[in-house]
Amino acid sequence: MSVNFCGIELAHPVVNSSGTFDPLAARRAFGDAAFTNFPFSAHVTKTITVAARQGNRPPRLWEAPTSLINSIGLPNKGIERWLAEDYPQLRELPVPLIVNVMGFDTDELIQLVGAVAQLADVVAIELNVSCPNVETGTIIGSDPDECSRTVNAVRGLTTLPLIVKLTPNATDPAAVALAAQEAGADAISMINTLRGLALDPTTLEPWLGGGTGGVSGPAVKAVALAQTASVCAAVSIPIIGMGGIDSGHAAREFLAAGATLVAVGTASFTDPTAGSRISAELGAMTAH
Amino acid sequence: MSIVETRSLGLYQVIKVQDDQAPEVRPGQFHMLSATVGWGGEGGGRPWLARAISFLSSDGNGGIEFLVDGIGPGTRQLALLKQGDQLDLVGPLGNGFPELAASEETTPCLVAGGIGIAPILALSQQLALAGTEHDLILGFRNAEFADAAAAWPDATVATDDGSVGEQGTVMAPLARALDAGPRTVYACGPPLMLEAVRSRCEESDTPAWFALEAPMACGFGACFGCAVETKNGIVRLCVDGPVISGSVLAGITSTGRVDGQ
Ligand SMILES: Cc1cc2nc3c(=O)[nH]c(=O)nc-3n(C[C@H](O)[C@H](O)[C@H](O)COP(=O)(O)OP(=O)(O)OC[C@H]3O[C@@H](n4cnc5c(N)ncnc54)[C@H](O)[C@@H]3O)c2cc1C
Ligand SMILES: Cc1cc2nc3c(=O)[nH]c(=O)nc-3n(C[C@H](O)[C@H](O)[C@H](O)COP(=O)(O)O)c2cc1C
Ligand code: FES
Repeated sequence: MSVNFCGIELAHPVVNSSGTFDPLAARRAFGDAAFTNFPFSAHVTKTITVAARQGNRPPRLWEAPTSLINSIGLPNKGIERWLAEDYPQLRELPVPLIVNVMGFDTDELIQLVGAVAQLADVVAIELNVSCPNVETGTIIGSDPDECSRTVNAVRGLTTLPLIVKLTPNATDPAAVALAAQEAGADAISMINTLRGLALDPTTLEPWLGGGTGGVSGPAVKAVALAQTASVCAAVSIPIIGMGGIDSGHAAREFLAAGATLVAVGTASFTDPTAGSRISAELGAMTAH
Repeated sequence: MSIVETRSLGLYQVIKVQDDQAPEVRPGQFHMLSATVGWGGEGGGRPWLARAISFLSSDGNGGIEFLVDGIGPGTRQLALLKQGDQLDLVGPLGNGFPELAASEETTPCLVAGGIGIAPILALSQQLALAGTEHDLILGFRNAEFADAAAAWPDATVATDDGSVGEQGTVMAPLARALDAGPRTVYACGPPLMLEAVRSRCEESDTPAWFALEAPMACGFGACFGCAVETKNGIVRLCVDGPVISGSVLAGITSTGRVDGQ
């Protein structure tokens, strides 16, 4: 089941998706086992920005049939405190570390990639150009030229693999992926959440603090699978496929569509060990 | 995990599970609960995510009890479970109530409203086992709900309609307790009640701890959905709470409730 992704050897193809698993919080909740039996073959961090962010005001969650609509708003402590407080702990994880960053402009992105590229225990950098909660993300990730400019701006700063995380809220994700590949991206991850709106059942006003939110979970799987297949057909670089994966079978579908790795997000919320379960199910299926 | 017993307590439902491997649970901690079979079935495809439910009591032999108020699709389905049904459990989660230092010359004053009695009764049981004198003040809407209080004969009960105990809210018995001597308050209940308790404690410089609620998708710090505003910034209630010191709360408001409760 081991797999080579951009030159990185991973024990199995299941990683966590950004912003859906915090190993440090999991260790507080479940003890050291959360680290030693880490459910994923690599850890992708939550998106880190230059400045600390509180995130959107509550409510941040809306539950719909087999899906979640979130308006979290990228809360994080900012790159400086992440480097000082979190990185020294995350490097103790038994799996490789992939750091997800997002800049609100090119200067910020250069600063983030520059800082993360220096870290000995980071194996790849994921660029979040797709978060639907923050306006700039949507623009870059939905436009091939913007995306190309963004990757170009940081390509020269590091020899680490650069993963571009695509948004599904784009007319033609394959065109954006192709632009990213031509600008020097080493891999594509997809999909981020789909923009969605939940209304308060009594007032019919937007329920979520951020207005709209991002839809994740099994309800988005068919969309994610179609987009993954079309991007895989368009580019030659490896893909991390995600969107609603909650079983070994679903993971296998993304691999069949052409993905090299799969990421599990929302499924971890109901089962913190979902990553281990899904990789075991996948292993049992592919062994036959 | 198998449900070994269910029973009603007033309008609430007690669910007992047996888990011989269960780590020790502290009052104020919670588990994320979902039925193994049929979860996601009710109208509209909800519940889908697990639901946060407080620890009510343990028998010391791996038996853990929860108290459920069927207010929506998730808690209604939990309340319908029967002996032998399977329950998925993640936990114990959260910080729980802080232990009172033996040296502190203060009497614990426990205040609860509605389903907020669950963590408060857990704490009362722990204090009673340790032989610690404490006040126990329980508030309910009416007699139907207050049936639950019959199991705690030492409690001071208040109901909105006066059908059981004294008429009114928990605020009058709380004021009497605070006047009787130094108190440390531990409270759980609807946000309106908690805010009244919080500001009363602030006025009298009474230390207070609040077991708060927020919508939770994961319960272990993964989703950042359970944000609660404190004087020290926004925290994740599931890992930095659910018990929060009154000293860092500027006010308690309800978030994520249709009924504003
Ligand atoms: C730490 C903690 C401990 C708790 N302990 C207990 C306990 O011991 N016993 C107990 O009975 N309860 C407890 N709760 C409360 C319980 O977890 C919540 O009320 C839970 O949401 C109930 O789920 P439901 O499906 O029954 O109701 P829901 O439908 O989730 O309704 C609960 C609230 O969520 C809002 N809501 C409605 N629809 C949606 C939607 N689609 N998406 C998101 N929100 C929506 C509504 O405003 C409603 O007021 C606890 C909560 C926390 C955080
Ligand atoms: C609560 C929540 C927070 C998320 N935070 C981030 C984030 O910080 N950065 C990011 O690139 N994607 C974020 N995502 C998107 C996920 O990484 C993933 O792309 C998406 O949820 C689809 O996968 P899933 O259906 O398995 O959850 C978040 C998703 C959820 C549900
Ligand atoms: S409920 Fe997910 S972070 Fe608290």
